Amino acid sequence: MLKYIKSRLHRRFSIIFLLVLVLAAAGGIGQHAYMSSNQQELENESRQWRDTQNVLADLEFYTQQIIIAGRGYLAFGDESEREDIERSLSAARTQLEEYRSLNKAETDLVAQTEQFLDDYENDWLPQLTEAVESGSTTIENREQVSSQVGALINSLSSGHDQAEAERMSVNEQYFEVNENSHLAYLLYLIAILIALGAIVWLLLRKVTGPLWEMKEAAAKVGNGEEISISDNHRSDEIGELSRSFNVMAASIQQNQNAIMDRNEELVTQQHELQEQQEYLRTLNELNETFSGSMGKQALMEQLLTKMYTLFHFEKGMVAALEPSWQAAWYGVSEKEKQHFENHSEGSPLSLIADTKQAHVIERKARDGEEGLGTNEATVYEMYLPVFSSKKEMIGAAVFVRTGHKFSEQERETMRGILRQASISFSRILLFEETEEERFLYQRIIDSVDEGIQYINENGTLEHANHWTWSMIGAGGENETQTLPFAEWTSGWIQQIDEDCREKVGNYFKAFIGGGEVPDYSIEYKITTESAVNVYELYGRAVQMESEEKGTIFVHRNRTKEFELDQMKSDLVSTVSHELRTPLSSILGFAELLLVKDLKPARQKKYIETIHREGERLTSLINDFLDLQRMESGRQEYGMEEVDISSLMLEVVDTFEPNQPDHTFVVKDRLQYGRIYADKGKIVQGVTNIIGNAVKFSPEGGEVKIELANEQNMVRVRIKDEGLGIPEKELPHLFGKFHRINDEDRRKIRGTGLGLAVTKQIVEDHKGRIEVDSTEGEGSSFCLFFPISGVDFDIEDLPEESDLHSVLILEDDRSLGMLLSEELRHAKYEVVHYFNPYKALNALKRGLRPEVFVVDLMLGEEMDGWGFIEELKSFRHTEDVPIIISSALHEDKERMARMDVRHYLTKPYPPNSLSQQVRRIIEQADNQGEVYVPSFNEV
Amino acid sequence: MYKILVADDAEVLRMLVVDTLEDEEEYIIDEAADGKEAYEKASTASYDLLIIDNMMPGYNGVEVVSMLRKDGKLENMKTLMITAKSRDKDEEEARKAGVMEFVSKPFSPALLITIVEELLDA
Repeated sequence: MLKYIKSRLHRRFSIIFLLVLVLAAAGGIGQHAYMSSNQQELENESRQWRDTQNVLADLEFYTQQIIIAGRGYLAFGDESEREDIERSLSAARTQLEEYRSLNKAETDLVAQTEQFLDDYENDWLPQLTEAVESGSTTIENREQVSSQVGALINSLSSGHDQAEAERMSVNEQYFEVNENSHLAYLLYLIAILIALGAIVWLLLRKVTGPLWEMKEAAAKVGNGEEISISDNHRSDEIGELSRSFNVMAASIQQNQNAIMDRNEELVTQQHELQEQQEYLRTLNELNETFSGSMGKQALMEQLLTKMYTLFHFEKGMVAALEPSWQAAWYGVSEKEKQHFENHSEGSPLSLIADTKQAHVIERKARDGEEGLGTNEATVYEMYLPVFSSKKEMIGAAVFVRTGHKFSEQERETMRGILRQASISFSRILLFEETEEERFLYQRIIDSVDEGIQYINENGTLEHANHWTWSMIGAGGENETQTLPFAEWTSGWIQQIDEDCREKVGNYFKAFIGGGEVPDYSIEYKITTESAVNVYELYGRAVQMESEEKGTIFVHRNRTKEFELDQMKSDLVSTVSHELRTPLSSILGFAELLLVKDLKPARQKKYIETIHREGERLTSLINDFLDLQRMESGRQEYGMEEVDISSLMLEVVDTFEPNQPDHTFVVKDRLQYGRIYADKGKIVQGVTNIIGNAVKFSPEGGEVKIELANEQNMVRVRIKDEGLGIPEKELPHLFGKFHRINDEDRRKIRGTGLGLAVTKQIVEDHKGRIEVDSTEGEGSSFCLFFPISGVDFDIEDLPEESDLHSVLILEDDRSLGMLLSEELRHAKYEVVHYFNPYKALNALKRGLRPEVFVVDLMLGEEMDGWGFIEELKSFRHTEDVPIIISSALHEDKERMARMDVRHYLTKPYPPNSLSQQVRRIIEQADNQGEVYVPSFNEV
Repeated sequence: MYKILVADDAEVLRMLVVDTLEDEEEYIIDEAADGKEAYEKASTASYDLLIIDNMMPGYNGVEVVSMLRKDGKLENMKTLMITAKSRDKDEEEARKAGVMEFVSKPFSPALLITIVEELLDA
């Protein structure tokens, strides 16, 4: 039986569990029964004591009632009192009977009470009745009754108290028992828990112990360790389990060993496969590089990297030889690179170029190449050529390995890869060439200042030059896009003038759709804020392999031609007008003279008019022809060295006598005034300007001609105090037939060609003309001519303010020029006046020369002496020294009046005049001496 | 007596026209030296004939005539234009503007008198 239970764990557990349950139940019930009987007993006892107590209390009460009623009866003889006595007696008897029935009744007390009741009923009550009937208020043995009653009440009372005490003690016992029962329950529960704990521990020990051991063992098996579990010979499941476990572990161990062996094999195989795969992948990537790469450098870098992956060399290089040397390197220092590049002549590279074969060099390692090892090492250098499709060597690869030979298989692979690389190289070369050509053509058509665009047969814009893209408004980075017909034409048409849009749009449309195409060109305009441009547009069908593929449009900018046409037509009408006006006068007045009978004065007036208009017509024609000749470059100039100073004095001489209202002054600071020019043309040019200065200052005034040097130039500034030129007219001033027409200028006649002619003359002399003018204040024209022969440095020019000025009043040009030139070279500013009155006016207006040079032979009204006298009478000039330039008119009387000194003897030696003048100026205390040259009588 | 306004920027031409017509002693002649002056004078006084050069600074002859026509001034005033051009297109334009007759430079004074008389007698 026991064996049966032990052989299965669940049986064993069931039995034990059942036993515990039964014991716990029995214990519980037993304890409960014991406790409750104990309590019952005590409750009974307590109740009995309470009953006893109550009965005794009643007895006492009735006893006292009896006494009280007896006394009342005796005192008052009231019959109801007597009845009370009897009732109380009866009640006391009932109580006594009850007391007697109680367990706790005390026999003595019963007897005593019974005695009293009997006595009272039998003896004392009749006595009382008797006494009352007799009217007595006392009875004989009252004393005895009282004492007996007292004793009884005392007994009853003590009985009662005792019962009370007993009840209390019983109650206490009850509570005690109650408390004990709680404790007992607790103990009972603890005992059960302890029992359960013991059972659980026992079971765990029996079951989990072996399981834990097996778990540890399983972990060990998992880790591949040897294990053995103690055979505990148990017959239950645990026993069986541990035995099976041992068997299983042994078998697993065996399998594991087999697997480990297999695994090692697999790892080896996998490794081989991976290597193979890597190799193939690298080859594959190389192929991709070969087919996809568009850049030479990228291709070479890639090739080198892949080759390294495949062949693990120490150093490597892939180079392109065509069109220029370009290389990718691996493991090569800058120094080595340079060395290699500089020594390619006669290197193995030229060998493989000749043999067209790969070449391997085997040599001893040089210092540094063998690495850390000190053993002698061999270095293998592999040289491989890269060929073009024409079998020319266009590149090469070099790989260097130390101590590791290139196997035959490796060499074969390398050659194979390089053959593929060759194809790729050739392709890239071809691509680069094509790209370069494409760029060249694009650059060519981009730099054309005309629009060129190619559209395909659907009208899509496929190629265009820069100009075209900017017209469409899609320039910049988008210049390589293609645009559908509607898109590019709308962009285009918006740029051009509104009245041309329809025409251009229709022209474009005519070229798509395959119909008859226009064989004429059209013209359109584009007006911007700054200019109007005129374009000629023509389209030509483009044929490819005798098939019409699309159209090329060319937009030719013919603004210049257009403007030229316009100008020509304007010019014709202007010239026609300008010529017809004098012609009308000539013919008209001649007719009047012919047909009418006129007074002589009229006749003269008409003839004068005809003459004047004839002259005007001539100068018009001359100016116009001059201009035409010069503009077309047909003007022939007789060039010679010309001194600008004397040329200007000559020109002024032609004006001076005829212009009494104008004061001409030439301020000459030229250090070098020679230009290479056609004298006649320069005279014509400056005459136009001075003529204008005179004409356009109708109120007269000063016409100042300033001559000065500016960096390699002679500057002639002609400044008047006339009407000036409105600012808006300035840009058109040098245009042909340009006349400013307003009230002030209307009466001033001119051809409108003068300034244009002058400008052309100046420009034909490699000079330039500038104008500056303020309306109402006068104009200033500057003519610049390059000086001839010498390279003039502006640094040598004296500051204007540093110059001492010399006023020359001279009729005789040749002497004036001689003086002027000498003084200018001595860094004087020479101011020429031509008329003594005008010079005096200028002095009165504030001109302050430091010395005067005066010609004694002046005009008719005032000679040199007269001028000198005027100077002496003027406060500001009386102390200024005066040099007389000629002494032909010796006026002894006047000379005596003034402090005249002789200073030089003519002919002057070179430079002596300027030295003399300087001496005179630098003299501190000038008193206005007059110096007269003396003459050696020859 | 007819009142005539002669407008030309070239003084010598004005003189020629005035002298040519003055001898006829039937005309009172005023002069204007440019288009603006011609317009102002023709607007303020009434003339029977305006002889105007086309090529003038400021307003040219055609512009002056069309402005005057706009102002209703041509109803009682004949117009004669002196022109250097002889292009039909320009003449057509001028006729549209209100010019009635043309004389092209150089012109014969006798012809001028004839045309003026014809215009004024019409």
